[in-house]
Amino acid sequence: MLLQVQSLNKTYTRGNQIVRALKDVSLELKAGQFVSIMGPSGSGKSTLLHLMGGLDRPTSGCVILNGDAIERMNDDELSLFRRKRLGFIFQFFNLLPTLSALENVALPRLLDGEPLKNIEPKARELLEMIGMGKRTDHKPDQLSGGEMQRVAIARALIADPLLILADEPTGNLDSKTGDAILKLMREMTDKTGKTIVMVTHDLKAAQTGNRLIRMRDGSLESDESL
Amino acid sequence: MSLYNLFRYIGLRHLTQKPTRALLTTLGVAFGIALYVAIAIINHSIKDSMRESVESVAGKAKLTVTGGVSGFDEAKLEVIRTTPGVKAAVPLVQARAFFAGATESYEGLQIMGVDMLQDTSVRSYKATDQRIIDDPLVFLNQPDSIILTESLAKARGLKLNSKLRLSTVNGLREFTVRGLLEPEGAAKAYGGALALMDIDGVRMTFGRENKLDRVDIIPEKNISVDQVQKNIEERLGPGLQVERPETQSESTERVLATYQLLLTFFSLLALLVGLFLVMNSISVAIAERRREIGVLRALGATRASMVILFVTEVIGVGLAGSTLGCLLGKVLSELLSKQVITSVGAQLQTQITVSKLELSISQALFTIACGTGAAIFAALLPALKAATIHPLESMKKNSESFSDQDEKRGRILVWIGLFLLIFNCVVVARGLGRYWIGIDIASKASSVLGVALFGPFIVFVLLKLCRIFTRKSSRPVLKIAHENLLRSRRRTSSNVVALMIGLFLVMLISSVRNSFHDTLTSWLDQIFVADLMVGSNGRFITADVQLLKEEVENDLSQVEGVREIQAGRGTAVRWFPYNTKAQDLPSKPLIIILIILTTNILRCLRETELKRRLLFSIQRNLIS
Repeated sequence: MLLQVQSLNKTYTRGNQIVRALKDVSLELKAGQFVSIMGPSGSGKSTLLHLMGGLDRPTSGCVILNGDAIERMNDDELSLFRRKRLGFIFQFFNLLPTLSALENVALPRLLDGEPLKNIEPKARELLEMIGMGKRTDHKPDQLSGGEMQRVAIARALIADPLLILADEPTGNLDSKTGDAILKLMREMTDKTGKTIVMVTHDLKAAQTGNRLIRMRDGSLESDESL
Repeated sequence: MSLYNLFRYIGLRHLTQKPTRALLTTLGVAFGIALYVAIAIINHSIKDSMRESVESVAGKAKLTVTGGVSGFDEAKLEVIRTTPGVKAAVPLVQARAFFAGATESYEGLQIMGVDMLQDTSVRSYKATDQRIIDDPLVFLNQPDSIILTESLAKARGLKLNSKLRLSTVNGLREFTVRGLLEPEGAAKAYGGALALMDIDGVRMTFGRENKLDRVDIIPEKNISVDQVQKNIEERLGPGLQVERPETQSESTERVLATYQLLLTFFSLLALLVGLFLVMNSISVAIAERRREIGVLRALGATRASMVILFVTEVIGVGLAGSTLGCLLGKVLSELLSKQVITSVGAQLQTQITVSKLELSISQALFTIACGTGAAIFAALLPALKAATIHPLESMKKNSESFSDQDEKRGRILVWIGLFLLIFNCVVVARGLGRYWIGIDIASKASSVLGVALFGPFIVFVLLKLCRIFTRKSSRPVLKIAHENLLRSRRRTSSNVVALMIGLFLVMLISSVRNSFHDTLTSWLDQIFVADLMVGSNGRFITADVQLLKEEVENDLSQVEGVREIQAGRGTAVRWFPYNTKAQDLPSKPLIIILIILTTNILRCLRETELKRRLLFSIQRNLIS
């Protein structure tokens, strides 16, 4: 089992109110799955994604990725874990405006201290794979939304992570570009065997994956294979 | 290596993409460092000059007897000469002279009246033509004889047998250059702004009859210097100072230290403003780059690497600013030197002439290292704040979003700011500061911190109130600008806090300056009730003046419109402990000041001018 989520709870305070964002959530993911997590706003899907990615800490419960319990790690260990084991695709692309497409793709490994010349061949290969081979030197402000998300996908793959987490990857794109991005993600799973967890509130997007988890009010509502 | 990548691909890119901000921050550091360097160069040069002057004038002497500005009776010379253990005792009379038409005290020169036949046993001189004077007897028989240093003669375009006019007690007098000295031995003193005359010639010409300013002593070889010092002190009694030349140099430096500390304090304030600029620049950069920091954290950058990222961005700014500051400082030292040196001379009641203003490579490197270190220190606080930015910032739609904790912290800070301001108001209104200096300092500190914490809240309230007008405005740019200010709360707050603290620093400097000004104005109002003041060349306030003849009083009483004349004299005296026996204070006046009360009409016309001139003189000396 690649990922195990066990009795995960997350509560936080908003003003004077205590909000239970996740209520005793448990699930397991196998390697190579493309899992879509769907639900309305406030259902806890993003919170679950953040906890899986070590971006936030649970109130109780645990997340185990490939045998490593995330909640036991300190901040530095968690940073290293995200750098080496996880890939992120964000709704707003989050490319660094001062870096070229190639440098943005190389960023996770640059943070690891590798020189760019060592990373460059792999980065170019990934950009070729996603159809951005001719725009490697372009800065984000010279790219369209779809192109930026493609670069973000290549960035998520550069460190050869165990798990890729995508937060509403098509939420900021038009439907045509969104479809292309989803197709690319699906191909990525099929070709490279990568495990993807994607959060979305769009059913059509969710159906791109091979497993669909529905959430409501902080709990799992359904879990079905597609 | 990852740190190199962070700087190479992220830090450096930001610096090059925002060149104006980087330049302004660099200039902030540069100006701060420049003033610090300029003051340091001048201070250092003054110390060197003072040390050199003391050592050059002392020559081979092991002990020196002085009596302060007033000098002492020449009869003491015989007492010293007959003291057991004294091999040679050479007298010296010093006076300030000014070239005809001189308006500034640095246009003066130090006249050393020496015993031409004995002085070389203590001090060494080297003439440009091997002999200082052709015939000492001719020199002594001609009271207009004067020996100049070669540098001074060159600067004034004078040669052997040239005539020069100097202001003296008896008015302008003409002197003849009968010798030129190379810059060696005693001629190195006072930066070469020095002239030698016969001791009796100086006494007559500069109103120093029966006076000596110092006696330089060479002890016998078979007796310790300490013992000779003790013997002389016992024979002279209190009131005169018997000390080794090196002690004289040290005590001069001690007197100088306080004044130099004040100057350094002001220069450090300027540096503080520069460093605050660095701090603000980094704070604004962090506020603008919150999402980017969140992304980097999400992708695996550690907290420590975020601190180092911003610190490395500042290293470049600090290095460039400090290097530029050193260069500017050198130029600034040339511009400020005259004023500062005159001012220090006034403090020590002596002439200081600095021949070179130098910044050694080791000093420059040390300053660059310190400047860069200080810039890093200034950036550390906002950089540490950057490290606390959560990786979840990368997921937020609006990077300026605030958590409940942020909001709560913000509210607490505003309340703290308000409390501090209330505390300050109470202390000021009730005058509580006068009871204990601690309350006064706490009150001042609370006013700064209070304004810094409460200021942004007030600004946001005002901005929200302004919405009423901007909504109605037909100019979209105004609306966008207004909304941008409100939306970017962190950036706006950083700028407001920076402005408040910057303003405070400017106010602090000006309040210290005004405090000096007010104190002196009040002092002048109480001391000087006259409308006109007559003095010799130089500045009264610096005691850098010559005696006036008593006949001047009679001459002035003949002037039409003069109602009343008050003659005065001032001198500097040494303070002795209360249990010391009777003091041997100077018996004759050193400086005569004439204070004249004129008619009422003249008073109205002159009052403002007199005070303006006096204040101008004082300000230039005390507040550079």
